[in-house]
Amino acid sequence: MFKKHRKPRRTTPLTKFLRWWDSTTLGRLHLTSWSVMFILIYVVLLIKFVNFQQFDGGWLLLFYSVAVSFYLLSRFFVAHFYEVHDETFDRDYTPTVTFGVPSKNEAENIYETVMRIADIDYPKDKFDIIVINDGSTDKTLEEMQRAATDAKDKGVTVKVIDWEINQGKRHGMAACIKESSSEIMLFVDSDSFIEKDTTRELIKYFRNPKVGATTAHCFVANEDTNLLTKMQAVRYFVAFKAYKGAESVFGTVTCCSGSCSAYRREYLIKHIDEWLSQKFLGVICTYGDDRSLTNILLRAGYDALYAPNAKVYTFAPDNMGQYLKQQLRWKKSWFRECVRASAFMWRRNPFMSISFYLALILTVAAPFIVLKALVWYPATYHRFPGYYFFGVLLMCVIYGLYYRIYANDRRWLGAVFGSALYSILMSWQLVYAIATIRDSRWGTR
Amino acid sequence: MGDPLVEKPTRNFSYRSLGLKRVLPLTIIGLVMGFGVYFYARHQESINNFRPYYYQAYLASIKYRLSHPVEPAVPTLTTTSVPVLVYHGLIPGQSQGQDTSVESFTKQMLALKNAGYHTISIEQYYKFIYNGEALPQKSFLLTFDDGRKDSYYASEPVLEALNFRATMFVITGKSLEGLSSVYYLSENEIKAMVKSGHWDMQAHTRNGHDEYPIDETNKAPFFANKLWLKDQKRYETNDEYRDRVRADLVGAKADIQRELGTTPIAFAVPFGDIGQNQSNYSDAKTVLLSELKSAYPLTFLQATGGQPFSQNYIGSKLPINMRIEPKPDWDSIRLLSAITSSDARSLPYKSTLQTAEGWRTPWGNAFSTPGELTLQAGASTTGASTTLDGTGDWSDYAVSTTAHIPKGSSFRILLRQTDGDSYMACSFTPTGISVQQTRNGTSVTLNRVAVSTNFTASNVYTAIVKGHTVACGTGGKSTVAAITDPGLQRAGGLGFVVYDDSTNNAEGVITKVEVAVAE
Repeated sequence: MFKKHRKPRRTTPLTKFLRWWDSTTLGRLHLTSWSVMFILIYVVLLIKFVNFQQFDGGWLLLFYSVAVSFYLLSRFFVAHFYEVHDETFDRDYTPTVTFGVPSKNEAENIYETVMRIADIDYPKDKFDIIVINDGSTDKTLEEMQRAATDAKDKGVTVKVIDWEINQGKRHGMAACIKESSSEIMLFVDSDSFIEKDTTRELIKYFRNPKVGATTAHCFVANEDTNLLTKMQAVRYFVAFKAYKGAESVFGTVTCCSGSCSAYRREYLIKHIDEWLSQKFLGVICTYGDDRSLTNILLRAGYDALYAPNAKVYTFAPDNMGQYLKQQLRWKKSWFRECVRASAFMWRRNPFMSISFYLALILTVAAPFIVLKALVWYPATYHRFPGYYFFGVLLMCVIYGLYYRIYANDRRWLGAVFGSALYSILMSWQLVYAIATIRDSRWGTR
Repeated sequence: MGDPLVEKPTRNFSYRSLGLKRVLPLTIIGLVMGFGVYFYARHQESINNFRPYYYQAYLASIKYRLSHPVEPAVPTLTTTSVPVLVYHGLIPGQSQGQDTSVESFTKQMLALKNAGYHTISIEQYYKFIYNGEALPQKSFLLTFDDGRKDSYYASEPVLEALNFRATMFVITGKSLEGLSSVYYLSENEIKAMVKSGHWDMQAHTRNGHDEYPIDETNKAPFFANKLWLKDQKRYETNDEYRDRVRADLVGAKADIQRELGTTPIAFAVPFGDIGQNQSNYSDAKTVLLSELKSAYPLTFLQATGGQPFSQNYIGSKLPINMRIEPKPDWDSIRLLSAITSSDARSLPYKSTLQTAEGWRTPWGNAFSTPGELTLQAGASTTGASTTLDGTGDWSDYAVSTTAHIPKGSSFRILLRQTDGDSYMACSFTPTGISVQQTRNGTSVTLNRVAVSTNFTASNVYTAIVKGHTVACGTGGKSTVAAITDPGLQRAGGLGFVVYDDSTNNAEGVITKVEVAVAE
């Protein structure tokens, strides 16, 4: 269904040829993209070399400039080595699974979501579904019940919990965890859709007792709607493939995405009450549930992994207003959970710790670097900050090529310019997010 | 150590693969990039200063390296004269003014290399001139003026491929005083050039490459003129002129000593202008030359038409040295012939009477037909002259020439030319023969004998110089002799002049020139 959301693309002999070429063995190697990407990385290295050479005593700026490139490029490099050994996988490994779907006012989607879960490729007696109607004002409850009946015909148990008063997503998730008796707890957002084999791909990692959580690769289902969604598609792709991939090398994915992640229930249940009453600066935390849940498991010493072959499709905001709100919410929870994670990250793999603290410092410093480059520099030297824009663009093109190669999608260029703009303008949202971090009005989705 | 009966207790739960398939490509790419950064670091200046048109130089140097894997041997025979070439900037497209296109420059260097030429250092050149130390045949000194970035970066690949070295005359005020420029070489670049081992750094001037006010409105070259002091509304005094010139010469020398730690021994006068073209101070040349002489053992000027010789001679000890400046329309063949036609000639010598042999024509016209060299006054000149290049180191020699003079009042044979304005001459008129001495354009008759000569008939004219004695005559006899000023520098040289009091009315036809060692 989500695949069909794509707009029909213009077909010319050239696009036909290109599509054919991309399908050939040689085309799949993406030799041109790889070459361009490595040439650009070489350019980045040269710029860093010159930065060192022209060092004028500005330690902070030099550190930032070198560290940011090092960090960004290191994601691709580290993720390249992520591979969980096949020996741990076993098709006969089928622990019991509970799907938790807390939802509010999702009458339109909830039936489809539940039925998709019911149809997955997994032994019917090994999984059940818990849906929570969290004080909906529309026909969500009716739709849930209809789905429960239809699923029962397929041999899948669906438990419907109805709350008249809205309690929030976090309480819904906690209720699912408490109600379930399965080994694995799997959360799927009500606006996200999984494929038939997503479950198996997510769960196979739990063979390893150290693994506490896994997260699926999230694609943007409406990527072809407009430039904004296309841009998010590129960012999502790199965020999962490179960032979560790199974190997985150390078993430390810092955020198991809310769109589709699996947790070992036994590990969660011990910390559930603490999670429910989590406060930050005296305010109960009502958003960023995915990140905080992951944090709890990581703190307890369990591993969190990214499952590249488990696919989930989600709908990304397609207008600026929604997008900005979502980003603000994410930035608040990112900052909050990073502060909490800093308390234990140093105990994890040293490489992981370094890159974690580095990312924290760099992201918080970014708005000020932007200010310096875009306001202070032109005001002082009366010159266009071309060097800065060039650097940002260079990085974005490298990201775009990475997306082009691994996602095998030719339409990445526009998104690259969007991303460049995003990295510059949106960095200041973080300052606003931190300043208003106690305000949780946008807490519910 | 495992017991085969017990099942493996642990599974492989690693999250990373360090297999060859993943490590090898990255290692290779890492090495390539590491080398790339190293390569950039090593060649940073040339990469940063690269201009697309330099590709011609790089292409030619690669081609040459591929086709000439072995460096040709240096000739074992020695030479008595050395040509010095001067270039300025190396530019894209066509050669223009003093700038040479990269293409022409590259072709000229390749042509020289293929013809067996090789370069020498300024140090070798100095020893050749002052100590008489021999140099192999086909040696030449390659020089660049102005210290421009393009002349370095565009010539470097060619020089490296051909194993040539060059001398750069730098404007120290532009290059060695910490100013940054996209046009002139920087201190770092100059140091890198010295370090490369095939560049010699010498002085062009400190601040004298610009034009300065010579009156309220006009500007003119620094060295050739007295400057106009605007605030005092007057010209410099003689002393002020001398002090200014001296300060610049000594300053440029000090700059090089300070920055490079070596003492320059050569100075190239900006624009080759020592006041011979236009000057508001008649003694400029004299003062300048004496200042140059005391600051630098070697001064380089361009061998313009007025200069009798293009090359420089072994053991000459002359402070003034001549450079050949390739003109924009010269191709490599023209350049080679400019060098070969000015090579030192040995005695006895018989001329081919062809202009291409090396006859320079500073005044009027000269043209050759088989067996004849004709001198003709131009439409606005009262005569014509021609001098034979490559004769500068003849010491005692006897010239015997057959000529008839259809038009004109006098015919002169020039000897002992120190420059275009200073020489000895045998002067023939229909009524007498005299020995003349010319210094800075002023002639004095030292001795004269009344002899009648039929100009229109073919006659044998002779001129003999031995030590300080010059003897002249017709019909194979020496008729008149004189001892010239013994304080004057001895030099070789051979030239002919025809003259008449009215313009466009002098012509001489030379049918035979033979020179032997004077007995």
